Amino acid sequence: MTVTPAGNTGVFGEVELTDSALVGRVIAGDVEAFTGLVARYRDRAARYAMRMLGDPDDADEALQDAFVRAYRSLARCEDRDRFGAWLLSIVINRCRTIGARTGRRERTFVRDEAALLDAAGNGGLGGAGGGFGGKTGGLDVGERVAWRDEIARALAQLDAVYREAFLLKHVEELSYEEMSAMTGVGVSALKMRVKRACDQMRVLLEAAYSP
Amino acid sequence: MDELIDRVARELREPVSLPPGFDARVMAAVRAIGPHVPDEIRDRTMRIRVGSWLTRPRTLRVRPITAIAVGAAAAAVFVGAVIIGARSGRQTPLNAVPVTIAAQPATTVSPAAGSLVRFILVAPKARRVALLGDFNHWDPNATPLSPAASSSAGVWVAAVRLPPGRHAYGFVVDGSRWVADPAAPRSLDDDYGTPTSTITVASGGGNELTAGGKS
Repeated sequence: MTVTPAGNTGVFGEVELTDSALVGRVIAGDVEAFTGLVARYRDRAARYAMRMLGDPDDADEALQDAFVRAYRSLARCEDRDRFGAWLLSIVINRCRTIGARTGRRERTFVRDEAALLDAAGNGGLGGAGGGFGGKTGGLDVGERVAWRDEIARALAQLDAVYREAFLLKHVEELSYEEMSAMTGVGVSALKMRVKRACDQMRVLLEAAYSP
Repeated sequence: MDELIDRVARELREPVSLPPGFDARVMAAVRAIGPHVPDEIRDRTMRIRVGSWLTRPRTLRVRPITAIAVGAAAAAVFVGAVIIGARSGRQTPLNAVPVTIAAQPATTVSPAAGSLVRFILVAPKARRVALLGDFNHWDPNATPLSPAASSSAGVWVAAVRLPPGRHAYGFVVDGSRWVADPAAPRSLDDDYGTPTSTITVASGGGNELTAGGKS
């Protein structure tokens, strides 16, 4: 996960505060301490919201809403050291609401131009996750854009519940137990959804995948 | 996980760019909501009838307490004033402390409709003290207490005109430490360790109350 160093990342003085410490400060009345939690978790929350909703405005709305709700109900965060997981469950919920509201099955995914330009400008296509290695080797920017577009289009084709399960399992890399706790869906049902999502993605991407 | 799904997942794990000013917008919304107030503070109720205070000085049960009765000529009554960490038991003659009027809360209360309430906190080590209550939307910037001019023991004061009714309040010391008004009587169902108080201002107006606390 990439954390932008700008702004307060939860470091006070020389000490980086834990989630629990930051949550405690906010609950005690220190509004500004919430900045540290925002900085720590916004990138991950944004990635999920953007992949789930496919539209930057919808994702922005879901994220703003989620962080404000998290702030309001912070006293109900039972495990303060796992604020991130608790926040993600709120983000999941907000994405469900906003996704249902838009009611679009066929979504128009917008290219993340800024990230692509940044990757190209760095001379590599690694992004924050390291090099784009593997059997496909290095793709030029055009191929990379096309590949990302194909993935986005395929993802948009999935039912929302399959897309949600797929993202939580394979992108957020949660365990089925964690997913169950966050979504309220049983483990068996989640496994089925992930499997169906993978099957559908495979079919949709076969044409784009070039070994 | 098969190779295709693996490649897809790795691609999707790449970070996304956020709209500009995201953090700032979240914090603006959060600041507009205001600081957290523990639920037990809002739930705490204490009824103080102005009339009964005038006619029947109340002995406060919270220790340590220094309660000073003030002459009824100005219709001012001390709920109580406590010195933090007092070991010597010295009393501060609070009726001699000049009171500065703090910034008025958002709701303007006419003198006829409300009562002037002095809030006093003795906190010698504090750098700043704020009064938060439902009357100023729990805004830590709305009603700062001022050091009493002749104070030698860290006495902080603010005077606020409150409309009739029940008001919950507390103090925040140095921006982060909640302090209730332990000089105020606790409700019978009080089972929490961090108190705050509610003061009830009777209708009729023109009365003055003083509420004091310790940290």
